[in-house]
Amino acid sequence: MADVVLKNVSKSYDKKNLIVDNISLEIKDKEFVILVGPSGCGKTTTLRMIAGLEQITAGKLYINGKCVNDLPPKDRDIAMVFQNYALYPHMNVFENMAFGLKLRKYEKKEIERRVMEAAEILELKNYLYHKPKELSGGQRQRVAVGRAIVRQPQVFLFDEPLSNLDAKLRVQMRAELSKLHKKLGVTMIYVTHDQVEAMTMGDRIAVMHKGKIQQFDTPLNIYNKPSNKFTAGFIGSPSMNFVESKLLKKDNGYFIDFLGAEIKLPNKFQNEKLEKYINQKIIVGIRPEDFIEPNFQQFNNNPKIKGIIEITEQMGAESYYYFRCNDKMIVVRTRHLSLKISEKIEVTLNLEKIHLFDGITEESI
Amino acid sequence: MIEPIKNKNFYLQRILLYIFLTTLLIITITPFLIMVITSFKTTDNIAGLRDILPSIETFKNFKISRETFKNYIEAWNDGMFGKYFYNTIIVTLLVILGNLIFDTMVAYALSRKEFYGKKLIFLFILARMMIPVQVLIIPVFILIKQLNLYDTLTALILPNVVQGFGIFLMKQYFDGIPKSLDEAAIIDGASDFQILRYILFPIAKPAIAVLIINTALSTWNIFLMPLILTQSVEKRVLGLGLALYKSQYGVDYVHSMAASTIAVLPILILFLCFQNYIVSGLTKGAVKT
Ligand SMILES: Nc1ncnc2c1ncn2[C@@H]1O[C@H](COP(=O)(O)OP(=O)(O)O)[C@@H](O)[C@H]1O
Ligand SMILES: [Mg+2]
Repeated sequence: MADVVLKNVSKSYDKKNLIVDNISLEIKDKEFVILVGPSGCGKTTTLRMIAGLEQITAGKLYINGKCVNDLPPKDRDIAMVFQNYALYPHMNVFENMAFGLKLRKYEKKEIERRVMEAAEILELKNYLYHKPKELSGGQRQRVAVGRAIVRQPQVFLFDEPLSNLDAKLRVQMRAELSKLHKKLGVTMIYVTHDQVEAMTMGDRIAVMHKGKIQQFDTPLNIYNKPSNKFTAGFIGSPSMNFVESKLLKKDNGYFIDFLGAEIKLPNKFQNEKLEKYINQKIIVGIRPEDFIEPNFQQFNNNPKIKGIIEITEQMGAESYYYFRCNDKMIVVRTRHLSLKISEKIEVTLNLEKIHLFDGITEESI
Repeated sequence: MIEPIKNKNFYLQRILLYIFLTTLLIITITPFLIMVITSFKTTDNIAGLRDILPSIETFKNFKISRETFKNYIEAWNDGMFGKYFYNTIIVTLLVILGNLIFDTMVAYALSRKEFYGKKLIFLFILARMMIPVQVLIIPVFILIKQLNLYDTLTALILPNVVQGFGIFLMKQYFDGIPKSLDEAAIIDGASDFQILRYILFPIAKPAIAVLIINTALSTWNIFLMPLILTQSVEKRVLGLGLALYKSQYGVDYVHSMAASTIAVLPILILFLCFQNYIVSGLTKGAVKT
């Protein structure tokens, strides 16, 4: 049992700028929560406050229902895996994993049992007597995880643990960490700047920006119903297209002005929530994957946009096309077209999938 | 790493470098050679200073025999030489021990902790390193006198158990060890002392080796401090004992050189033991580079 609750937690190093700005999170027992956000948004700082390596400037932190603001790291029942692994260079793999247990005066037999068990899970058995410098990046990473496992803490903290691995290993470790989470049945808080890691690994994702939590929800909810323009743009690759627009009201409903064309909003948007935005600036967002080729019959009547392709990115199974429409760069992600640079492209909006944001606050409408 | 292409210039540089190093080596080693060679002469073939300077003759006459080795036995047995040797070892060992403990503790605080006046304290420590012992000897003398430690070995040990050089050396080395290692240890449950003892201290082995060698060297050779702070023959250390050697039989080059050779040996052995450690690079692999 270990839930982690942050209540209005803030952090400032210089008593002026808030690096972490009044964040509140309720992380349930056994949950795998991802803190994701661009570099410098305060993720590491947040994690370090949870670990106890950083003083909390304001607010309260509860682990397992107990306020731990003033508890030193060793009494918080947490373990942390650092971005650079921080393995002790003079100790071999066994000693690295056993160090925490030795300090806690565990019996020799128990230490051995736990280290062996962790080595088994992490496939490190053949490397127990190697020094960190004799290991590959992936192995070092696993030793760092092993050092956390042996202590059997209630909460695991990870700070971008995969960022130093190559792409293939990263995918593999992603799956292994998810498996480990299920196997150990513990709470995990995982920091990353990589939205793919966030989407694939987390039970819930907390999107951070400028020291604030933008949204805290399941991956699919964040993808489908982003709470604001930042979240919408941050999750998904390539990023969502944003077009400045104006909301119009006509006899038969609400319309938007989309790159010069007047488009009637689909039924799900036709409600009184939009009333206050009439004739106001709003932002329309559409994901690159929510365009369709115009010759797909069922969408034939949807509005079309067209332009000349400026950049193409071939991913094999699908392609990204960047083109300009009314001087606005739009990116489309599709597997149905095979076009080249400076060819014409014409696509249709899947209107059901568009997102509307307040033109000033950038909050989702 | 890619091997650089070696051109003519490279070899020329190498040759010049080796000439330079060889010259340095000769300059450094000559006094030692003279010392060792002289120590194996017999008193008869030394008439004056001129016989000490190395010449073809010297090498021709040089032989280690039971007879010439007698110089060493005589030097050792002469007067209080054994006592001096013992005193020096005690003083040196305790001073090294003190520096290992206290220098690293001070360095840990300076490297890892934030506190008011830290920069100023570090500055004082650096400044202290620049003041020669001759300047400090009077206040130290007064202090020692008031502590009732005059004419004791403690008087030679206590003022030296923590030294600016060692603090500086260790702080610089600790600064180069990533802080995330400390943090990992904190999460693992280590206290400050345990971080120092189990993490920083072993990683800093190369610096520790330098600290040991350096402290040993400077302590083994102390001269002024024992001259001022001790009085009785039983409290003499080697440096002082050797300097006063001549007073025994006038100028006795042969025996005093044999005694000097004995005095140098421990330091030489210590250096040979530690030279491998004085190569850093131990932290490789701890943290991605
Ligand atoms: N010890 C520190 N002192 C002052 N500023 C810091 C310190 N640590 C981090 N910061 C600042 O806090 C901000 C957030 O840092 P961090 O939490 O590491 O971001 P992230 O992990 O999201 O990339 C950065 O702008 C960084 O410069
Ligand atoms: Mg970070």
